[in-house]
Amino acid sequence: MASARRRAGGEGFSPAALKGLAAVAAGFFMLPLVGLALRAPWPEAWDRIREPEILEALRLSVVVSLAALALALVFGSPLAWVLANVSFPGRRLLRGLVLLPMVLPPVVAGVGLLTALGRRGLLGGVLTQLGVSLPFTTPAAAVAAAFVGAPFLVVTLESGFRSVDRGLEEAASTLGASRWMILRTVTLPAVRPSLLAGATLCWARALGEFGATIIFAGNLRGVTQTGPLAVYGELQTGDAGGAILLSLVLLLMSLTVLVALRGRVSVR
Amino acid sequence: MTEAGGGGEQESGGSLGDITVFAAASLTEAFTELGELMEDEQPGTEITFNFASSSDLALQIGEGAPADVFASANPVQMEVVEDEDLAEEPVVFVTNKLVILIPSDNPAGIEGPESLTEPGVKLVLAAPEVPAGNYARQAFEALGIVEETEANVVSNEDDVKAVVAKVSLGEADAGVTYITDATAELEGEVEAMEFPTDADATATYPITTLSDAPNPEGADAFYDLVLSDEGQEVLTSYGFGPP
Repeated sequence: MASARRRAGGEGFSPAALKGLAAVAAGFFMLPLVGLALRAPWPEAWDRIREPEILEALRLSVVVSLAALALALVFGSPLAWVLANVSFPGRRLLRGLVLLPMVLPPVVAGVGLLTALGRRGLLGGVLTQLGVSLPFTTPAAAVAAAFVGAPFLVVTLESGFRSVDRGLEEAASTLGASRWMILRTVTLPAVRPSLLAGATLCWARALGEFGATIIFAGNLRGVTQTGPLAVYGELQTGDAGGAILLSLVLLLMSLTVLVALRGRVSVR
Repeated sequence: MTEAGGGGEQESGGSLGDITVFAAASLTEAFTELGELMEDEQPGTEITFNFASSSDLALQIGEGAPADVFASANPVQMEVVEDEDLAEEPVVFVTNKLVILIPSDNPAGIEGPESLTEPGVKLVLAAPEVPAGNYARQAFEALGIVEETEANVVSNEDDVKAVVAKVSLGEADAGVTYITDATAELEGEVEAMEFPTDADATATYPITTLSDAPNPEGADAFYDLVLSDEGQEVLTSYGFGPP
C-alpha cells in the first residue's frame, strides 16, 4: 500500500520488490510445466502420442471443446447482450448465476447437470419422451464443458457490449439503419476483441474440463473420455509417462491458442 | 488435537496421535465406524481416512504419500505397494461379495447376469484397473459373457462408490459393486443381486502397515484393531465375510 501511494506521488519508487514478487508468481505458474516436461518420457514420446487411446482422447477433446464453444456462442452471446443492454429486475442476480459455474466445484456442477438433465432429472422426463438420453453420450460431455466454459465468454463479451460507443449506434440509427444492420455493422465489430478473448477462454476451459464431465457424461473411451479423463485414466493404471505426455499435448494446444489469440487482442 | 504423532511413548488408553489410513472406497462405512471406535477408546487419537480406488491409493503411496496403513480391495494393488518395498506385512482381513446393483425401479428389467448382455442395457463398471472393475470382468469371464457386457458398458468409473452413485441416481440400468455397497442408507433406492456361484465373485482384501509410516505405533494399533475380534465384528456387521 505504502509503495503504491508513493508511486502515485511519482517519486523515488523502486519496482524491485514488485518485480521480485512477480517473479515468484511467474515461477509458481511455470514450475509445474517444467516438472511435467522433465518427467516426460521423451525418447518414446512420438510413439506414445500416436497410441489409439491417446489419439482418440485428443480427437474427442477437440470435438467436445469446439461443440461447447458453439453452444456458448449461440446461447451465451445473446445472454451477454441482454445483460449489457436490457435492464430488468433480477439482472444482478442473473449475472451472479451466470458466474457461478466458474467457482462451483466442477463435481458439483456434474451432479447439478444430472439433477437437471439426467434420466430422473428435472427435464429428464421430457427428454426421454423426445427419445433423448444425455448422460453417457458425447453431447453430454459437450454440455458439461459448455456449462463450465460459457461463463468466461458471457462475462468477457458483456463487458465488451457495455463499452460499445452508444453515440455510434445512435448515429447509425438516425441515418436509418435497421437494428440488425446496426448490430452487424457497428456493434459486432466493436466487440470483436472481447468476443475473441471470451471465446478463447471459454474454449480453453472447456478443453480442460474434468469433474463435471466424469460425473455427468461418465468415462468411456471414444465416447466421453476426453483428454483430461484419459490423463486420469493413465494415472490410475500407473502409466504416469502417458499421462504426462497427454497433459503436455493438451497444455501446448491451450497455450498456443491463448497466446496467439488472447495475446493479440489484449494489445490491440 | 494432541501432539503424540510420531512420538516414542505410548500409554494404553491414551492418545495414539494422528493416524492416516488409506483404504479402498468400499471400506468407507465400516472403516469410518472402526475409526470412531478407536478415537473413543484412545481419546486424543485422530484418524484421517483417504478413501479412493485401491489403484489410486497404491499410486499415491508409491509417490510418497504419508500413509500409516493401506487396505486394498484386491491383492493386485497390494502387490504394487509390495513391489515398492513399502508394505510391512500384508494379510487378508476380510472378503466381500460381488453383486449386480440396480435402481429399485429396475428400468431395464434386470434379472441376473444374463440380462446384462441384452443390447441397450446401460451398464456402469469401475475401470478395469480398479479392483471392483477387475473383479466384475473376472466374473463375466467365468460366465462367458465378457464381450456382450463390455459392449453395454457406458462408463468406466473411478472407484466403486462412483458406480454406486450412477446407479442410485438412476442413470445406469445396472452396475457391478460389492454387497457391502448396498448400505442401509440406500435402502429403497437400489437392489443388489448376487452372482451365481460359478461366477467366482469373491473379493479378498489385504491390509498392511507401511514401512514409511509417519506414526508406526498408530499404524500397528489400527492394523491390530482391524484384525481383532472387535474389528472383525464391525466389518461383519457391514456385510463383509471372514478372510
